[in-house]
Amino acid sequence: MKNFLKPLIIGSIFAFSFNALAEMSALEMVKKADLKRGLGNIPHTFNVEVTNKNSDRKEVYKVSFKDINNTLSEQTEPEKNKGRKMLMKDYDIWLFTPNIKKAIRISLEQKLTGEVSNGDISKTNYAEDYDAKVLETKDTPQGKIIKLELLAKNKKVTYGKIEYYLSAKDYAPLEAVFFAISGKPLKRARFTDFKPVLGETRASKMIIQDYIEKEKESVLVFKDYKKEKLDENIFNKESLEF
Amino acid sequence: MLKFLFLFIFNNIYASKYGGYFSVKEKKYLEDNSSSSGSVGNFRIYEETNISKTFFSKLEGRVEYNSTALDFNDKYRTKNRDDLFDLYFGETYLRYKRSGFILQGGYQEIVWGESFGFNYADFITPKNLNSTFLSEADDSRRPIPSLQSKILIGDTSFQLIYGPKSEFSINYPLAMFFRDTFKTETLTVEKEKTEWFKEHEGGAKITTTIVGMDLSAYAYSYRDRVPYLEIKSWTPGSELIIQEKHARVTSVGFSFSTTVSDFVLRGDFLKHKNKKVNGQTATGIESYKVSENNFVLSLDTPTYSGYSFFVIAAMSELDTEISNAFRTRVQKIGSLKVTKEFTNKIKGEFVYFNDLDQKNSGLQLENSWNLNDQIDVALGGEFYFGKNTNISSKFKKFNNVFVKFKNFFSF
Repeated sequence: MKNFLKPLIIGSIFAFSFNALAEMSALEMVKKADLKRGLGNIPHTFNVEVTNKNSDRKEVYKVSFKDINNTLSEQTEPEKNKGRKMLMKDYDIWLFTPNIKKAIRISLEQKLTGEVSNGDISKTNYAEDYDAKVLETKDTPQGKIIKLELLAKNKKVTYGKIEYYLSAKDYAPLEAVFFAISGKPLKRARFTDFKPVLGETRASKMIIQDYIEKEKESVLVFKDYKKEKLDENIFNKESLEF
Repeated sequence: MLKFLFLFIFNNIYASKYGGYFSVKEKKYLEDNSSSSGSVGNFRIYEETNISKTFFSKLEGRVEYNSTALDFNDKYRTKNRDDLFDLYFGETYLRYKRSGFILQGGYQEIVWGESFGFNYADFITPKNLNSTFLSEADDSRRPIPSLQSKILIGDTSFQLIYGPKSEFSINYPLAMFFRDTFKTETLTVEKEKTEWFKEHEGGAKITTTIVGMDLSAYAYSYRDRVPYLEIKSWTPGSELIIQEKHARVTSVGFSFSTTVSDFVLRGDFLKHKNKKVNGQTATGIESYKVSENNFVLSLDTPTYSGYSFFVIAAMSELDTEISNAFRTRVQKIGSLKVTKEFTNKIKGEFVYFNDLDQKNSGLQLENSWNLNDQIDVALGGEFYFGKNTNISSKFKKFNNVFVKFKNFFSF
């Protein structure tokens, strides 16, 4: 009996260790990619400019990121939407608009509203929100690319699944395909314009295209990153009107 | 005017931001009113200044023209305040804010409750009640002078409000209530004048979030924003002078909102004590002291394929039966709002509501075009249905189709 169990136990340990290593390395890749899109899971602020293809319309948001459970975005342009704020706190989301004059609770699903979803603007960390695994590695004319599959850890995450393409050279994010919880593909994003930001080369532009209606395209420009100690009271819904 | 000038100069010492909008709405009435058409115009301009890390100021001026009262009775006159044209302070306040503590004083809009669009708990800030279109309810508020402080502790907050002067809503056109009575008289309405620090208003609210549910409880003592009426003098066939008076009311309430699957459930429960309502008698009008209980439950959905839905069940109940009252003792209202975003520039809105007891209903429709970042235009209409013998059918006078233009600006 002992002779039968020994190889099984050793085999299981090896199998477990191999899987853990593979998962960890995929997660490490996503963490590195996150740092090429934002400052990671530390308190900071940044601005996002959103423009739509075939339109002169520009929207500007200021995002205060305390950690993955506390983000606040405030629209500063255009004038008619100025002062709109969205607070995401754990599984709760509140919206404040200057005409309603109070923070109202909204459904988690509303983080997906708009061609550019609220989650696209304020959530730049995938490593904390998704489980990752490597699907394949392939050679392309642009170099070796790693294809990862990210699965949502919980419902507060913006997307159910992301197919994420990274450069094998430095784990820079190149492209992502976003899926709803139902599995329906929603949109595709390209990450471009890598620039030095606070000591690291990071993508400053995200081009989002509707998966079906490809003419629907929006460009997000991330800028003005600042590491900042944020007052935890700005993440209280009752402070949104002030 | 001097106050505006002083604040304008003060704010210009610092780098300030300016913005606002102007809007025009032209209505064509579908009922036989004194005028076949009406106009509503608004101009708002504000200045915002970050004086320091802890101090912020806002100065806003508003100009408003609303022809509704005159549209219903061309012999309508007011004393002490003009219902048709008004220049007044918008949100004009100074704010001090540091970690966990906020103090704000000036002209402010204060809104309680969890429901929106149809919100019984939005009783502190006066409104222009002639804005019957539900989507415009938020724009109809008129800030009140007040000092408020808020203390934030974790997910909990305590709010205290003091008001040194009462301000009132602009009431519905009185011709709506009297129907065929007083048709030949010139109608003069005397508004109540109030003075600073003669009477005081105040209240408090506590709010918290526990396991995905927002809860708040509140109380406020104030002069009722909606008036009750008294006849001052009446010369049949010649003149009727009516005084608008305001009862001292205490309101207490409780609100909640929570997420249920993809939906949000909201509720407001509110009791107003010592309100006064009118009833019409053979010799004129009388006022009666009552308590009023209000309940509203609503469920709203996220946006599915551009559609979002909002369902409301509301009830308002007086504790006393009053014969020929301007309102029924119990009002039960069901409402459905559907919003469709056709594109990111075109939006349609459908609102239907039904007074379940009185069998009256209303329909409000609007299609809006966002031409660019500055300009919105809209076409729409509001339609009320019901028996003419029914007091709730008074709203039929509002039946209209309209075109609206709104231009935002900033510099």
